[in-house]
Amino acid sequence: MAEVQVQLDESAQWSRLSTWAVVYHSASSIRQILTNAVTLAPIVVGITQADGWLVPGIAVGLGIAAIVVHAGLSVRRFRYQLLDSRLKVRQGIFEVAQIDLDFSRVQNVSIINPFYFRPLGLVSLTIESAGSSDEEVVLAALRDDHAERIRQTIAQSRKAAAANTEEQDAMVLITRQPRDLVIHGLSSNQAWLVLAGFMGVYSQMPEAWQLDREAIVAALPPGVLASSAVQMVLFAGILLLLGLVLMLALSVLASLLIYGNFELRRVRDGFAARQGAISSRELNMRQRRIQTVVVRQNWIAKLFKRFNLSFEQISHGQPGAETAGRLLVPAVTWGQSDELTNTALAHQAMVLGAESFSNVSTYFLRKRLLWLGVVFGIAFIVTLDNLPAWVLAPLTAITLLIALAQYRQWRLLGFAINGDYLTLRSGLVGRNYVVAPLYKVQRVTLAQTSLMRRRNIAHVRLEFASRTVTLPCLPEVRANEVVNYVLNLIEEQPRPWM
Amino acid sequence: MSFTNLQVDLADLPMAQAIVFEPLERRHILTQTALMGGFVLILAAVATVVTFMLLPESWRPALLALLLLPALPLLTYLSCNRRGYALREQDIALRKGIFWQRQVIQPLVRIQHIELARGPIDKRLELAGLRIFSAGTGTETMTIPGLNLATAQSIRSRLLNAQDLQG
Repeated sequence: MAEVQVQLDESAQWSRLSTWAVVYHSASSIRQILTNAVTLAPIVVGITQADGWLVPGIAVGLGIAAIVVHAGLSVRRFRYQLLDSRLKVRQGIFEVAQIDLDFSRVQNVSIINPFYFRPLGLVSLTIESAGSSDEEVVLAALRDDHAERIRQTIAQSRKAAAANTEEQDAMVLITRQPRDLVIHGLSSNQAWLVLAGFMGVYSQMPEAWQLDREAIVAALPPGVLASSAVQMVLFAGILLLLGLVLMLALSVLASLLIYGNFELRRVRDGFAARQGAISSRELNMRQRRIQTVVVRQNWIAKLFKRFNLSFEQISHGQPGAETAGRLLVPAVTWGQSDELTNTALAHQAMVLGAESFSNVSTYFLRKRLLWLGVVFGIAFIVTLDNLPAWVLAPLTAITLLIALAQYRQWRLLGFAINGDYLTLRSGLVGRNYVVAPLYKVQRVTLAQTSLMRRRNIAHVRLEFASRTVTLPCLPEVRANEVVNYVLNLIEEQPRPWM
Repeated sequence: MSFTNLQVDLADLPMAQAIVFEPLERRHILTQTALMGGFVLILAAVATVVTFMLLPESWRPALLALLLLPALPLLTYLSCNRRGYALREQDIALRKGIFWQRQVIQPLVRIQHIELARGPIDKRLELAGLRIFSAGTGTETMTIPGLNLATAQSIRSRLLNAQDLQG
């Protein structure tokens, strides 16, 4: 095994990666292929349908061999040089590219600790730059103390200008127990993703593998088909409930795996989160890069009085940015959420629950109720003509429920502007909050239809680097006030936004 | 309706609604309308030929739908006519949309980069479009089409200067 040799001070020397890096690169290629498994499913199915296992075995073997050879070559050609304030990397098999990564442009440093590296004391270091998404450098299979040293070098050179350069003790802000992760799993909809993947694979399978409808019917207890409507509804209800329980279980499992051993620490220029039950992953986010803080609570989270909180940074508008630009803290309480929000935004003691929110115009509610009325009217006439009269009762009940829900949504929708900060509240059962520093707004839009113009109503759209926050249906005067206030805040005394 | 801590005297703030928007160049509006008109004519011709040559006779009344087509150049005209821009000391504003009327205001300090976009027609007519990118907002850009080339260039240099000032 080739040892990692790095001279921190000697600038002319190129270092190479340990041979173990081949394992890491192969594994990450294979994982990438497996995550795209849904699209590969037809090929897999085709292989398994072939006669015997020889041909598919050879195919898979060749595939893995190709991956390993590729990984081996790229590790062999990989060179890096750690200088005082930047990292030089030469990589590529046929076409050698040199990346010059200045530490001041580094957005994230993650230390990844895969389970197969644990006994060896090795980790992989991923360095992302703020410039573009493909400028990402992976230093695989470094010794953990060495990786930590590089991470500190980067952190230090970022802070070179600052007076205080000694390493501050990283303060643990919050840790999450399995109990919290279970709540997070229940209250976030990760199961939908898992399920969607399964459905994709299922629909691609050959007929013979799919569930046979007749077989299902035969498997039912005798007499089911002859049962009454009430029994059928009950049966369907139980099936639905079972499905729901299964999905929640999947989601809890995913949450436990992804966020196991969660720990959020305050580091000198931002936050560091360690998470992952099997492979622990370290995410770093610099404080001034945080654009918005989002606090979410759906109805299940409300039962537990918890919130899921995320720090959002620039999303580059690329697909998959949903997770890339975020640091999520699962299942926090009211108090913790306030504390974390205040820490992240360097905000003076703000208490989300105590903000005084302004409602948006009743136009928002009236428009929705009008549409509901139109739909109800059409459904009413259609029912009257074609269906028995008793159907009207549930129809009316459902319409009233929706109207009630819309009223509640309007009641909850509100915003508060407190100095430099905007808080937007929304929700139906639970509450969601977006907290954003207004001086980080990129662009402001005022929008209205001519109908809204006649009623002196306008939407305000505030574009942040992480997301667009819309304040819908404000009275025109207020909308203009908000726009002027925000523009004034940005333009009078420009402050850095990242 | 309570605002907390909005202590700045709002009457003193520069008002966004008081912006006077400059219209786009007349020849840009006319060419865009003419282009759309030409497109509509070709579409109508193709539809007529196909209906008469290839489709059964019973389809012919459907050609009445072509009567709706003149709405397209009309909408183009109205939309271009409605578009306007305004350069202020600290920001640049764009007004657009017929049904959905929008005022986009881009503070100069948040501009990432600027592009001068000119198609073949623009070149012939001495026109230019400005595309303004702000950081982080990804693909959504602010585009001001149909400017005089000289105007576009002077706006661009003004925006670049403002960027230099903030360093």
